[in-house]
Amino acid sequence: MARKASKKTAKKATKKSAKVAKKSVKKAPKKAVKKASKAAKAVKAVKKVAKKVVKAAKKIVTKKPAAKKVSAGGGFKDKSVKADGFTIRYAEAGKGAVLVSIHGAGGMRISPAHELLAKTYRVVVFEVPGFGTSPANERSATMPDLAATMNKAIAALGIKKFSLMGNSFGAKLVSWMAVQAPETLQSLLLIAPAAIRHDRPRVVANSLEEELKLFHAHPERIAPRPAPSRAILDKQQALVRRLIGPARDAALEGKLKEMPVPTLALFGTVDRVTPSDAAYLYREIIPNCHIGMVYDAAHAIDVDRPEAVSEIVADFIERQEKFLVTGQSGVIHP
Amino acid sequence: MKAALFCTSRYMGPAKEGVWPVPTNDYETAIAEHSYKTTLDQFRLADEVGFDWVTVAEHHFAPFSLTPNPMVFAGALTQVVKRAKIALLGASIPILNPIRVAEEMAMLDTLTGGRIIAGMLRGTGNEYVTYNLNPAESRARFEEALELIRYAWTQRQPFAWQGRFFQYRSICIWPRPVQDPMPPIYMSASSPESGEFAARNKLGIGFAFTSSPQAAGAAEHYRQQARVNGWDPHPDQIIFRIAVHVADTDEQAHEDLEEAARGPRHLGVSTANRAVESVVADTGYYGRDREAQRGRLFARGDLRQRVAQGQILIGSVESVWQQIVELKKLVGCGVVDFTLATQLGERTSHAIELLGEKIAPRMKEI
Repeated sequence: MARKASKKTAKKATKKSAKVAKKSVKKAPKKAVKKASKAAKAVKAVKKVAKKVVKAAKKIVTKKPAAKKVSAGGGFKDKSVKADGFTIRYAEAGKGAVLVSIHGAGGMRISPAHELLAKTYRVVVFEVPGFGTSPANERSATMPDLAATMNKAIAALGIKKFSLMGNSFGAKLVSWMAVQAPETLQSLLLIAPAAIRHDRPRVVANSLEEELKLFHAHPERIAPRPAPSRAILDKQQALVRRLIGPARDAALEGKLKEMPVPTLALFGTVDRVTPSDAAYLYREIIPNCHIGMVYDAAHAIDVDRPEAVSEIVADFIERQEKFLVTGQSGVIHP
Repeated sequence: MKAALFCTSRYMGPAKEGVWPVPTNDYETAIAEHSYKTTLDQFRLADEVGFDWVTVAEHHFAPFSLTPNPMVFAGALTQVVKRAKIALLGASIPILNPIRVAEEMAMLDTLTGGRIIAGMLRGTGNEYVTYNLNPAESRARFEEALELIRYAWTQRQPFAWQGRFFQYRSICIWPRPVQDPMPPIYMSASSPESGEFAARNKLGIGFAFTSSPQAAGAAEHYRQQARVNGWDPHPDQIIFRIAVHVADTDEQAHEDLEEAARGPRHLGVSTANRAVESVVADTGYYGRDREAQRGRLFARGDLRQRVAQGQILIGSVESVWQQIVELKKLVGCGVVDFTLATQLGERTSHAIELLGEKIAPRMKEI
């Protein structure tokens, strides 16, 4: 369906541009050559964008719907751990200091940023109970409950000190995890975070195409992956709606004000889901918080600009607030 | 001796202290506009009452100074200061585009008919964060940038630059400096390495954020190194920047400065961010005299201690004159770059008048 729809839109857009081009030729015959070539260029540009969207949509929907066991991919190995009565799936790759990652409302995925970070760190990407193919989670009553479960899962793996990263909804979850057990954390990474938001209507995507546009500034960079089934999406959305809490969560913010962990919050400059106009709030509320803007990235920052994201995240994990002073050499020729 | 007036163009309202970069939550545009106007007025007055130089500096991300680009402010000064020299102390050249620096200083030299003093500084350690440059490479970048600027000022045919840190395919700047072959160049020489570099390259030097005994030691090192390189610096090649307040009586001067110290001070631009300062120190930015250099920047104290450490000249005309004579004996500086408490309104203006009319003429004699 979505594939058809995006093809249709692309065709429509192309036709429209061609119409404009024809019209301009009729209207001003003297300038016809110039305008026609301009219009032709516009048609080409529209075609190019349409192609990109179609290609990206294709990548997702031409894959078979999610099988029971989804492979994490990218050299990540699928494993599971028991905590709080849940069997919690996680994927792991790499060696070194531990970076735990918690996904957003869309569910677990291994992003190109995870793969880049796994070259330096032991990256552990959790699937929160109630997401993906796990049974619906009706037991976690609140975000702090769910956070406690996730902290127990990490402890069950024998991980004592680690950096913690959360995307979007996952950023709210890791914020709760951080206030519950700050002593376990080396640093906290909030990626396109939904932890502290301006109280305004949520931007919603009504189709796969809309979702692509909403979440990605660069759909051409999306790696092929199986699309989750409707049932999984519905189950996840119900859980997120039940747990996410208010845009300005006084209980969380009150605790964040006391949370000493060095924190980096990253925002995409073209993110319409958790826009960068909330960034200053993180800096004002969290005592040791740095904020960063990732240029030309939408909500899926780590898919749009994985290299840019993983570089600053790794630098922050290594050096925390000292990351302000670059260690890169400016030498062109020795 | 020569008298210079330095104004940081300090933001004259409240702001968060002890952090860097300083958030702008409390920033008010009207206060910033007023701060600029006050500074321009003070420089205009300094020019009228007989100061030899007026000086501006480059600092970033803090209310300590509203001149992140001193060239822009100097551009405004070319229309206000008609007689005195305009000293850029300076451009922080390792963090800038050196060709842009060469062009801007040449513009200013042309606009003033050759009244520019070209300070070439490394900038404070924290300011390497400003344009995301590695402070470990500060000195090497400085040396190359300075050499490049001198080439840009003197070559008449387009040339390429194949440097270590800078690379250009064709350079030929317009306008060219009025002063031939170039404006006098000064650099900071608080550290021994800088003093040695200045001595090797026959450059003037300057001291700021220091005490007179520390400056005396560094100046002597510079003179000794110059002798090793076969020349003797003129006293005018040593600038000492020092806080000053002059009033009709000693008591009045002390009362004024105590009042100023109770208001927003916006100090510690290089040390406010301890995390940044310590990582900068670990890069080797301070050179071989690391702890002395850091100590110099962290040195604080109340008014009395700062006067005792030779960090402030204070009192009546006669008292301040005696302190300048002592300073000259101790440091051997030919230019004193007076930094005033700029927020005292009429009393600041009066101090500028006393310095320009009563003290600057006597300084010319020694």
